[in-house]
Amino acid sequence: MGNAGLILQTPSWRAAAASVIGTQHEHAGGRCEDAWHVTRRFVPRVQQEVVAACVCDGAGSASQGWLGASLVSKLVSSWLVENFVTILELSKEDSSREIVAAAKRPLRRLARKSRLILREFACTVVAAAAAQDGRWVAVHVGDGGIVANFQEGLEAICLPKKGEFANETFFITDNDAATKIDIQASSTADGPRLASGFVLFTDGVESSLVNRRTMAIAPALATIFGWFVGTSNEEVSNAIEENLRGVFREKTGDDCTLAVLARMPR
Amino acid sequence: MARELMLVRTEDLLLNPTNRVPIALCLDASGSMAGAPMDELNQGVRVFFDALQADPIAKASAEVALVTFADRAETAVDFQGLERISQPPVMTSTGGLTSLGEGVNLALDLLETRKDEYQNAGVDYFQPWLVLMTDAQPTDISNAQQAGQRACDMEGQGKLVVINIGIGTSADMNTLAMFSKKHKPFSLQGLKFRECFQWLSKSVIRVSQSRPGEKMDWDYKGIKGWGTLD
Repeated sequence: MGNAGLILQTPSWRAAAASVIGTQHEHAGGRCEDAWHVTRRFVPRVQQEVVAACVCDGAGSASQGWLGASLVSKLVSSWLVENFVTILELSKEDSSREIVAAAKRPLRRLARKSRLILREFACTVVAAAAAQDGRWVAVHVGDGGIVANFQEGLEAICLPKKGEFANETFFITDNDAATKIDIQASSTADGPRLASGFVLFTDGVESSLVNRRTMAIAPALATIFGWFVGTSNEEVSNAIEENLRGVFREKTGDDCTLAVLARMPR
Repeated sequence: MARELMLVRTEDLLLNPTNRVPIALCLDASGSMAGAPMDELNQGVRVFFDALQADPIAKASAEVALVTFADRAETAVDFQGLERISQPPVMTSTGGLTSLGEGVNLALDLLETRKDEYQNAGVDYFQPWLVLMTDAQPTDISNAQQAGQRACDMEGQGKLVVINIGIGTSADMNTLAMFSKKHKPFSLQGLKFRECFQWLSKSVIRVSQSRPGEKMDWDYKGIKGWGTLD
């Protein structure tokens, strides 16, 4: 579920991503319910190109979770690129409402057309958008998470927001999604905190990458950032896919998705 | 970079604890259980432990506590990983009283403590289970009423799964009904403890494999192999 062949290369932000089906879905003859999308556009207001990536995990309990994940990954990444400046200016409450509406509106139309309830398209959202100068926004609903690469090192900026129990989580289709959404951005009182990389991941990969008690980040992420040197985005995407299949997937029964944005020197 | 160098080493990934499923077995060990019922119950509990240990995910996920009640309630096994306990202890029936309320309160206390430990250690967990089995009327009625309210409150908040099972014809199904508002108590057919615990282990295995957002429905068809729902 992705568009590996369509990723465009720009002088500053590189992008690579892949999803692989989990062993549980594979053995049951099911499909991969994760999806990802990467998009980029020149934004006149900042006179820079903005890149956005979004990974989504379709709810196992929703009949169309895989489709919700596929659509929402495209909707949210496109919305973030188009509204990059606005979201940096809006309050978190307003941004939350706007993002949830942008994702839900088309899903509702589709649900009506398919005579299904919105919940049947439930999925999580893990998204980040960044401009060439290193300013960024990150959006998160449910499980999975984001690690950012700052000058000080790698840091988990979004971690799972779930209920008390391991099989409870939040979805973009929830009625109260706007209150469950986590929005992080580069803006701080001391000026923007610029980033040079993001790793976005779904639940299947999360426990291999971040220790939620100590907040330690797996050394594997520094390795993956290193793959961008002297390779094409497509080669990195292929390597991510091979490693998800051969290494990460061995540690979980779940679908695995990893998307990486890396700001490379010109 | 050469393709063969683009490899993540397993040792460069983190090892987080497996999500846990805490299950408290709260079992009647009063005098009336002596003989065949207790023998069959012991075998059933052993089947339960064996089945969970045979499943790789459940072995890492399931944590079982065993509380028995007769004159007093006692912790026979406190919560621990299945890798630490190869066989459950053999229970014996003693005493003339049936301190069911005290037993349930002890089991719920153990569950609460274990949940705190999970939270402090950053371990994710599934809804805890209380499996209650008795063949008689409780002799600590007010304790039982209070424990029933406690279990129902937790169940109502989605914080507990209750499986309440009456053994034989003398089991007080009205008292057992106090422990769940979601369903009526089950009646064990004869001494089908093994079938009952096999069903339980399958249910625990399904929960241990469930993913965020997945709803777990009861395997009602499977219940017919060992019990009836009044």
